Amino acid sequence: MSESIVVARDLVKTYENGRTRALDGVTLEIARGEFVAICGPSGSGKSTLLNLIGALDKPDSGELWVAGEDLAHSHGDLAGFRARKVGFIFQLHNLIPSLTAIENVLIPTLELNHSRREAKARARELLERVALADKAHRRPPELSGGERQRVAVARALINNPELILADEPTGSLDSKNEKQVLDLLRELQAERGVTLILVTHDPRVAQNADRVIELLDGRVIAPVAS
Amino acid sequence: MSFISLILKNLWRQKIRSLLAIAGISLGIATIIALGAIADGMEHNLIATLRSGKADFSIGQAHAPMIVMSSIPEARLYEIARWPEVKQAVGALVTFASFPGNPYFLTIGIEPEAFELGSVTILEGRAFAKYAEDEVLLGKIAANTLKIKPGDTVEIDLKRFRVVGIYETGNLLEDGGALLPLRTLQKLKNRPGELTVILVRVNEGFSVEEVMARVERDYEGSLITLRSAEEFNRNYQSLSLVRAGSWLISLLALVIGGIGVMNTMIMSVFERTREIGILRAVGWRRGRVLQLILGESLMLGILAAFVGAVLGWSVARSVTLLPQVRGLISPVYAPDLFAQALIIALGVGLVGGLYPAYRASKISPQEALRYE
Repeated sequence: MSESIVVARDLVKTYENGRTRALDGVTLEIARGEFVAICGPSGSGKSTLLNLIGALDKPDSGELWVAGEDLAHSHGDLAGFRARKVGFIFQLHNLIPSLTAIENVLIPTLELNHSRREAKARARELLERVALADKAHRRPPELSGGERQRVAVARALINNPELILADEPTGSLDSKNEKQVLDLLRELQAERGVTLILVTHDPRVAQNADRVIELLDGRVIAPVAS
Repeated sequence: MSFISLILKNLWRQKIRSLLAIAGISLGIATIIALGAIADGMEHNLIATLRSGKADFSIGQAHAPMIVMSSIPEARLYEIARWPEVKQAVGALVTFASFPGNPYFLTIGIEPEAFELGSVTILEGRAFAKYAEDEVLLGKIAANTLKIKPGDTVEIDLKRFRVVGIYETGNLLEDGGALLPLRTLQKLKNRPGELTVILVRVNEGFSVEEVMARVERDYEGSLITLRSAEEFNRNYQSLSLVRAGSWLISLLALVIGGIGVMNTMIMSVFERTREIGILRAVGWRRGRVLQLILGESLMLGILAAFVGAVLGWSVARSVTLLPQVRGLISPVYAPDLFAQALIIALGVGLVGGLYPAYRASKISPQEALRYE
């Protein structure tokens, strides 16, 4: 197995002062360049796990290394880590409604002091890659659900992240658009060698991944390594 | 897309709300500009009225609330005129009189001997005779606006006068009024033996400061000497009152505008909770979110400063077009005034934006993302 980009040991995360145990000792490893699906019913802790890997939240205990960063023991705001290393795709209301497609794609670049011109060229190239070059100046309400998710995919890639985290990215799409977005994610993951972690409750969607990690009640129930 | 354009887009998407916030602040700014410009204008003219001509200094009544309320016994003039260090001292009675179409028509009672010291130049006709009871000189501006020529008659305080000439002093206020023989005006106004101001020219070889000091010493508590704009301001409270009013309105604008902006921005942050969560998730630091929200409220302030400046300018201008004050007020638009307005508008933006921006920066990305 190649170098690991995510290493988690005994991750515990509780809510409501310990009354809800969202993650109950999760151990897993994800290799660089892998496409992994984290699958489980709602309440299984899959979104919590994704939020920890994406440095949106911190574990109560355990070890968590992502892209060389010790996330379990880091202090302060990890926004810089998120900006450089991670690209997020969410299920719903992913985009800022008042901004055009290309402006939405450019949002993460405002944090890193990239040249405006280069960033813009890159955003155009990514929109072309997700087949939305002709709709770069439309706002989200003027786009279909599938198109909006493709804009979100382009935004996730704009800062050249090592890791793409997708939380139910096709959860609100019909089957045709679902297939299109999943195919696109797969292709991009393969051609850019980026690691893709996809959270879903739907085993059909999970099937697209190289490997499926199943969660139930905050624990991993499927084999950890492939 | 730059950070600034993002700020503008965010304001633009809530057009009505942004416009209402801007309207609120700009009304305060407009009031500050209009009042300030009018006060500055009054100051300019009134100062010139007192200090015009070749006089070294002027004397007014101590503690008078404004110059037209200054009252000096004429006897003081004769006492001071006899001092060896005084080359010439003349007195004038400055009052407002009713004039057809203008209840506040500036009338100055003066003797022809004082014309030189008061910088009065006769443009047409002749000067009035010292004790003429029905002769008047009309200022250039007044003559122009009223279309009056020498030889015409005018009615001042219901009494008929013959216009014998047109004069100019170069001061807007004076040129918009009339000169009458001192005795005639004292009689007309029922103020015999009373002066408003004394103009003094000092003999060569004497220091102006020493003569001024002697006046203040000999008539301590009853007379004051005035030489500069600042002294005028300090000694005549009516303008200070306008100024204090303007600052009070500034303060109110700051508080009311600040509350308005705060309300606008808190609503806006609340509505955008999920959006701010997304910004944080894609890597925006807390500070960047803070800058965004604070930037939006400061931008409201800047836009309001411009709207308010234009509005205030128009108000001050339209006030001067009123017939009652024509020739009495000419607003002065000092750069200071606009700077003051801009600083206040930015203060409003800052005061109103700080708390919402702080709140926004504290939004936790993962909680915001759960928020639908």
